[in-house]
Amino acid sequence: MQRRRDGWIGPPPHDLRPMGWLAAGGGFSPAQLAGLVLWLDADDAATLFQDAARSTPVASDGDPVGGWTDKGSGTYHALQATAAKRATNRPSAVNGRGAVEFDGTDDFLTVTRMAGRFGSGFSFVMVMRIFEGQPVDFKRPFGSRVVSPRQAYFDFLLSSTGSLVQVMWADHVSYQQTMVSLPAGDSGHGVLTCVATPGAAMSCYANGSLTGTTSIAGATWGNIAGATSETPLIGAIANGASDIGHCACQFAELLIYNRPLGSAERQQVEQYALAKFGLSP
Amino acid sequence: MSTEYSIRRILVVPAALQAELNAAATTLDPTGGDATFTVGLSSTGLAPATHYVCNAALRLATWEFVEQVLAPQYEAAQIFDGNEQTIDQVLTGLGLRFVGSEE
Repeated sequence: MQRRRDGWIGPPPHDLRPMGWLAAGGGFSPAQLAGLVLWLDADDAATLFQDAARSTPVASDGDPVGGWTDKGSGTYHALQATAAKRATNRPSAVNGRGAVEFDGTDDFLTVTRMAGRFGSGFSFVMVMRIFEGQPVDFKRPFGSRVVSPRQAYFDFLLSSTGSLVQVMWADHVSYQQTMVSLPAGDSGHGVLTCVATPGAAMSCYANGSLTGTTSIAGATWGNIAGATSETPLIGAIANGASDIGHCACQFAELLIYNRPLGSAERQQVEQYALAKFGLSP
Repeated sequence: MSTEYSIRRILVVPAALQAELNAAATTLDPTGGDATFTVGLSSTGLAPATHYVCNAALRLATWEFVEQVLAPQYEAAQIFDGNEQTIDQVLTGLGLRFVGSEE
């Protein structure tokens, strides 16, 4: 992997050459694909609010973000009731487009529990940036888990080797897949994708390039995606009633589908995200 | 338009004051102030927490209330200028680490 100044970059994949719909200006919306559960879009200022009641819109760079409206199902808004723990509005963070920033100390947003939504698997697409790469360990930009029995359907953590890893737990057994190797310090923005197919595999991609595939055939999927799954946090991870592992990072966009996207679908979403935020594949 | 929330402050307080300061924070934040100090710190990074930290962007009026009304009541609370120092610099200077982020 080599890294260009604009983000996590690997060798250009053959399947990510500009397609006709993109060259023509796209017009693609993530909502065109079935199964969109969550769509947080920091570039849509109308979805960002200073408060958890989503009554006071953000107006300026540096304003607190206590409410982020879900444009997907309209159900899973990301909220923070405590003023001191709200994230920060950065309206031109990614090549002139917006992001929500987390301070790595105590900021996080809580998303309503998604228990029962992932019986058929999931796909995550994140446009994000991590300010603290290696050697930081056990920071979590995003995740959901229960402590005992240790289960999670997603747990994105920074590992001791300086990688962002998606760790899926099932009854204390972990299934891990590296999403990207981080440089020291600021990572730059990138598009990260994780697709999980129950009983089969979990594959991760950075800017459209496959970073690896892990078998999850041994995982009891019902335990992962079932009713015991914890509340998802953005900017940290839930640990029972506590929030831990706060990560200094920015999220520009977050998409969650309740099924594994097909290859062509995944590429469509990745192309959309790369083009929208001016990032290179 | 520039933000009104331009004053960033990092507050580190002894664990013994956690409940009292969370209650005091509800003066400024009635809906969620009681969870202002929940991120634990210790010298080893292991529980129990000896201190708690809050890193917040404040409006001038809020900061003036903290500085002039709350801070004098809690001299054991340490306040750092987050516009000048990062959280890592503050914690390194104090010899403290986040509690509970390890597996």
